[in-house]
Amino acid sequence: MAGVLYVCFYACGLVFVVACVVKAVSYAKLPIHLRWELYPVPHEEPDRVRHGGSYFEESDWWTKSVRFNFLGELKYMAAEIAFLKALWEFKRSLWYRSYAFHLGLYLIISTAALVLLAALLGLFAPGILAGAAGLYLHWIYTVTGSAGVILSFLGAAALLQRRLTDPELKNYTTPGDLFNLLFFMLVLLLLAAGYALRPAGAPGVVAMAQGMLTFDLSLRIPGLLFTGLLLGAILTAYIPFTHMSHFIAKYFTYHSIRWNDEPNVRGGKMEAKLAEYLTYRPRWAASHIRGDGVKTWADVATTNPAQEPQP
Amino acid sequence: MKKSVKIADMAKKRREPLIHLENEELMPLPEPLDGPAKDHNWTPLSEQAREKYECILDDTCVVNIPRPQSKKEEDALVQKFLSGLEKLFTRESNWTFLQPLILTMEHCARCQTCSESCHIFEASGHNELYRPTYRSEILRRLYFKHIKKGVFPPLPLFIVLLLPALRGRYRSYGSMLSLTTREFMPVEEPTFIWSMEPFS
Repeated sequence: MAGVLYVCFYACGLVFVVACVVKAVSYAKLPIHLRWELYPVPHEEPDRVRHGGSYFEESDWWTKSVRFNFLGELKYMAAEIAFLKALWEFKRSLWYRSYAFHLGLYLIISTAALVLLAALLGLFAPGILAGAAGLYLHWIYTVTGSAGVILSFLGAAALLQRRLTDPELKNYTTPGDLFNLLFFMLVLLLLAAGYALRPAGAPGVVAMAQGMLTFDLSLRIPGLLFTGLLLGAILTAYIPFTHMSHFIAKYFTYHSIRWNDEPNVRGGKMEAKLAEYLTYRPRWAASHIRGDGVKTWADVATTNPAQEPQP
Repeated sequence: MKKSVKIADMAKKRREPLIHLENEELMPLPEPLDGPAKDHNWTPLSEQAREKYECILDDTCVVNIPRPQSKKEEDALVQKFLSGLEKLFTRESNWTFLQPLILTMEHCARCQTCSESCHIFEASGHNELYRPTYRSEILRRLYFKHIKKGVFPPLPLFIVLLLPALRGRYRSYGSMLSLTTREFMPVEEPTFIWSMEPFS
């Protein structure tokens, strides 16, 4: 039993990591697109951010070095990641539910990291784990884990209720959306119930983490908890293949789409990429393009296909 | 009269537009249009236009796509649309918009936050047809149906661990084999949207 769980945990973890990396790389490799030109971007100088400006408003901007305000961008990202700031500002009625769900997930991820730390300490520095530091660690992950499971479950239930009852969301909700929320709720419920109702003598979280690290097959994991952990692993592997991997998409949405104000300078990487794109051969049949598989974007841009005689 | 418009309404076989706008329903405007009676009413689409063109959204007909007169013409039009849809997601034909398009196709949470920032939707008096996610959601479903159409990647894992429990439950949404990265979509999605601009 324990062996099946370990294999599943490692396999699902691997699927999650590989799928996330593949997805991120595939998004990163997409071509540079036409910009939205929405200003200000947070990595601008603070005085320009205040009036919604850009370094492009300076005369001869291409002759001057551009200062990247990393702190400004970091502040924006931290507020967005930690508090879902955009949802708070633009759709507050949904924020309470969504934030409870996401905060719960953050706490669960933190708990997993702390439990792993405790397991490693138990294996390599048992003296530390047996001391006061181990006790503090135990209390911290107990609190974060419990709060995380409760918040995530309530958040998922509240999101589900809103999706089922609010006409604005209901019209656009697919069975997949409902399945995802129910999947989360089921896993969280099984984990909470499995851990709370485990019989005396059953292994705790640190023992299970140590068992996983050492592949200890002698561990006896109660059935309910086993099911919760197994489904939790499957849920983890499932996430990158759904729109729930928006944590990857969000990076590109902000950095490549909303905030990309990199200049196209002579001899630069962007110029080389754009030169390559201009050699692509569009296949649009509309009269203003008449892509025939031979004509390039450069040809289309430098002629008027609509005025050319039809073949 | 404002009526609720559903995603599936786009696929219904009918000749009348999905909605008809009335000035009373629109967002109030300042002077000199500070009352519904101070502006022209929306002229309903003529019978002739309805019969001649595929205009089923509202009382306007921007892209005059001739209404197909036979099954053969209809199939040809569908194929043109699907061909255009395919080109829309290639680097060669659409490098100019590919990254934002794919990100929004694959990761929209459909939270409707964008609706409240959309001046068209707000000015229409929250008419569903002008909600920014209405037509984009239909395009998204067509994208997953016709462009992605891939096998759900960790399928073997799911077959072993989940399929027995789910057998029969989602049969109406197609077998698990047809799962895409957008999870399972309802089968009642429209197979073709006549009034979307042809991309080919």
